[in-house]
Amino acid sequence: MAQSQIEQLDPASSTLVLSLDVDLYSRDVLYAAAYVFIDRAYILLDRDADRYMVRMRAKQKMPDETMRAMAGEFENELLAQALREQVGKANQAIIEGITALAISGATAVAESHADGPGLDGFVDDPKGLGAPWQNKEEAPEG
Amino acid sequence: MGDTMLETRAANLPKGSQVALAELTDPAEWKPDFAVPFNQRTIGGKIVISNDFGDWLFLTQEEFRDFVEGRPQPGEPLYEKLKRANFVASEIDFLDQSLRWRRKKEYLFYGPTLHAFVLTHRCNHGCQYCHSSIVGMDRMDTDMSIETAEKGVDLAFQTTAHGLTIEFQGGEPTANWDVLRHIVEYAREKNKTAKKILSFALVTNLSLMDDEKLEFLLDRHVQICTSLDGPEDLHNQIRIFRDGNSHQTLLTWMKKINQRYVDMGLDPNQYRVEALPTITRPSLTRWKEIVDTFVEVGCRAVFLRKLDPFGFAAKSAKTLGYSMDEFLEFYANAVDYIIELNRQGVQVMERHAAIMLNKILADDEPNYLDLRIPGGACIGQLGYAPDGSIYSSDEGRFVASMGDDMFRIGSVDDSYQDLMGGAATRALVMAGLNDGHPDCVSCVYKPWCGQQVEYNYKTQGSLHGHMRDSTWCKKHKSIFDYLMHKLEAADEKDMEMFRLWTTNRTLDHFIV
Repeated sequence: MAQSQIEQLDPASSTLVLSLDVDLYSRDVLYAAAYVFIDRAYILLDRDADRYMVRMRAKQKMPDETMRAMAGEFENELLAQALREQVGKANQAIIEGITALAISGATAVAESHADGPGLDGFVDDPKGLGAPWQNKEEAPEG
Repeated sequence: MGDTMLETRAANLPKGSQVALAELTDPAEWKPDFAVPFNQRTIGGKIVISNDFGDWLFLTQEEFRDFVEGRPQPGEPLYEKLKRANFVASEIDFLDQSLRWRRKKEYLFYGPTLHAFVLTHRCNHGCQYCHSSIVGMDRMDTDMSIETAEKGVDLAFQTTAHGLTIEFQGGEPTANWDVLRHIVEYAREKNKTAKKILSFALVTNLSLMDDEKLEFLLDRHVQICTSLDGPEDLHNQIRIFRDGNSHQTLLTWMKKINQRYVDMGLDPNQYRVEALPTITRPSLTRWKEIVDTFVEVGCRAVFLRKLDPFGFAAKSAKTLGYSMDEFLEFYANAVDYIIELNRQGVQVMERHAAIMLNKILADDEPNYLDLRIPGGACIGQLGYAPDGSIYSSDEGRFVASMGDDMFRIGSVDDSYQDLMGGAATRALVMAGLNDGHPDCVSCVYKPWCGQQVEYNYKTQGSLHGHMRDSTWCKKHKSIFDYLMHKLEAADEKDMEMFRLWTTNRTLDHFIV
């Protein structure tokens, strides 16, 4: 069976049903891809044995070729989301580290501000996120 | 090059191309331990490589092959070139590089610096591309109240950033003059104890300006910025002023304000009314006249801004819009002309190019919120609507003006800590990191590029978007390509000009 395919396309009701091999995409990827289309279509996700079933009913009447294009866009979105999930996992430590640093920087109470920034211009960093790794390793425990 | 040639030249934007290592080298010969992680792209006949530290080099194909295969030996010119540019893994001083990273990512260590207050939705212009939910001048119910303004200023002062810029926007912000005045005085008073590096910026069409307002703005050191779309007919065609001639009014006041700066002893090379054009379809063939207009009014920089997908701009896309290819062709024509003017001794630069060159040539991070990692949503800027709603940015507010509150992160009644530490802020920061984007992680321009999550959401339906068919990516990648071609071909005089574009001068007068 094809990896993904159009099971039903009915321009009269602007309805499109796609089926996908459940082994190809995680459920998170399917949700993320489907979400991108909710401004254009009403979407129902279902499962039939080893196939995900994606039922899309366009919010505005669509001609046949536009619906086929939407099916293609959905397939591309699945691939983009799957790859993003992989890249996100591969770089999870970097992403979380930078995000934690940014949030910490934006929320930390900077007592020194009344007298201007510190010598290096950084705000207080109670979690030590801004310290070089070497310093952290050298710091005594406890 | 003469003007005639410039006008008739077929604009071929030089493009780079992604190139796979296996196309140029034999995988069996690769020595992955030799190099730090890098990305590559062909530019003309050469290959440009970059690393995450922000270093870059042009290599010939032979040099690139030797590099990937780990052949250069200490003492050899290629080895030393690679070593100086931090591409040889065994030669990296990681403490130096971590300090360098920290310097360029300093903005991660503090909260939002830019606080954009929308004082009203009222405006006396009917600009065809306007982003905002513009209403008539009688709709005073869309004005920000003094109470909301004070709460907003109180919130803004809680930022952990030492620098704080309050920007007045609209509508036409001077239509709500009393509140503008009050914010300036209230913030200045607060700053007597907060002691932040406080500055104000006013984005105005200047049509409601009068001598009394101007004296107040000059006395309180409020920087004045405006919109100028080019020559009179083009400007007035797009920026429709019901009560007069927008272009003439604008230029009259720009001239007067610039003269007042001179009278105050300020350097006219630095202190001018900042003017920004928005490029529309009628602008596309008029790149030379647009640049000339900016030069004539004394502007030292032209920021060639593409029409964005928000607000009225989206509704007017059919009449004002154009493809990204058309914009890029316009851009190349305009910047080629700017470069030509520089060679003739005229001091003018293009702002996108200057920001990018700042990163590439000066190893600096100008903290331009649309082109940094992570993007500026929430942690770089906040948008304050008249009703007290707080948005991730100006663009987040534009999305809201189209009926979608996706980027509303709270209100002036919320605590700063809740806004910054909330799930929405976290999600927007994470989405604005290039490290999570499939195309970005393998792009040679990754160290200098950035994300705007609001743009991704509006154009592609998710905060992350997908860069492969993103117009955001196409625009920035193409401009980087254009600049890389210029750098590759530049002689010493051109390099001097490009370095001059990276010069940053602090406008101390506008710091309160």
